[in-house]
Amino acid sequence: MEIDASVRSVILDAMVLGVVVLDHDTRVLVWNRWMVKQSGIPDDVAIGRPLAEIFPELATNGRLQNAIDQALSHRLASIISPSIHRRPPLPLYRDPGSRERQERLQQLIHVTPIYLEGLRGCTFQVQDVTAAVNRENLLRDQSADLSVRNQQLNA
Amino acid sequence: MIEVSDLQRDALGEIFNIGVGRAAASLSQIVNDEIELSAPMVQFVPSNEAMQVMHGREFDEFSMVEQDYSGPFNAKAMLVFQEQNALVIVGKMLGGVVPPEQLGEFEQEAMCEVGNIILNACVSALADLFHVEFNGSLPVYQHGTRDSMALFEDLREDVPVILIVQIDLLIRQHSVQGHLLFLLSVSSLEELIASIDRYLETLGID
Repeated sequence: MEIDASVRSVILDAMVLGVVVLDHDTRVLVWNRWMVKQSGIPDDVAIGRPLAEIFPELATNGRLQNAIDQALSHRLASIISPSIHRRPPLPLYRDPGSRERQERLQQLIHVTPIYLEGLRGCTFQVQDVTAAVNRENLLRDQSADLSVRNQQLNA
Repeated sequence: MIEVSDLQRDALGEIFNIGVGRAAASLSQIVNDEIELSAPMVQFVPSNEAMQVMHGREFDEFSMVEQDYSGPFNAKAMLVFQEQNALVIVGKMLGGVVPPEQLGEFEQEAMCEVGNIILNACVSALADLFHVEFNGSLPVYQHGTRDSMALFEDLREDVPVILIVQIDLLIRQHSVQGHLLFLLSVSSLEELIASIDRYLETLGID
């Protein structure tokens, strides 16, 4: 069965992760509903615009920009994990409250090249891993506490 | 066995040093501190001797990041660190409060990205200097034990030779060693050698 474009966009919008497709000049081709919701930027504003215009800070965030460049120029895929990037790369928020407090959601990003006839671009997917990161930080703090207490007991 | 000359090996060593240099710049930017990387040794070894070459000493557990590359030649590339060394890298990168005793999901993900940065930087250096293109897959993290690493012994038929690049990494006064492995089929190895020759020719060396 062939899946036509409207069905495809319904599927993209049903996803609980951000899906963005960029063409070779980093212009946005796909901006799914999750991206609209979490970035606050409607798709009709995003589509057709270069990503750096939508997120000007990308120019100074080396890693995501590099990953996109590598996908476009070298067809290489990249992963950007929240564990080694203290500051989440994109201004995406879980809800209006966190947007007001400027608390970005924690992001796990996969960048993959796409090459079809007539299209050479890349896609990136953003997963909200805030809950996992918070849990991890909590465990880390607890384990630090425990080891301090252990040392005190041993002393 | 396919012969690789000193000149070909040196050329490859130079390209890998360009690659790890790029990776060091990216990693330094991420941790906001200087990370140095060098690739002091490039070797082609029979696959059943790979383990010996990598770790003459005692070892038990490994941390591996794997990516597949396809293009003029295909390779499964792996960045392999002894688990202890991977813990040092991740600990230093995360600015770890508590040194983890093993790599949890969080640390594995960090390691995956570190591997991804180093592998892609090396492959893009190869692509640039050879004027070719590769397609790269997403990285996969794997935990390896001495037993699972024995898989290299069984590779002989498909992968007679493994290209091993020693990687020295200096992070916050800590120096750790790892290895980059490229598993190449006979035809891919031949194509790699041919690419090196073409590269040397463009430099006017042959």
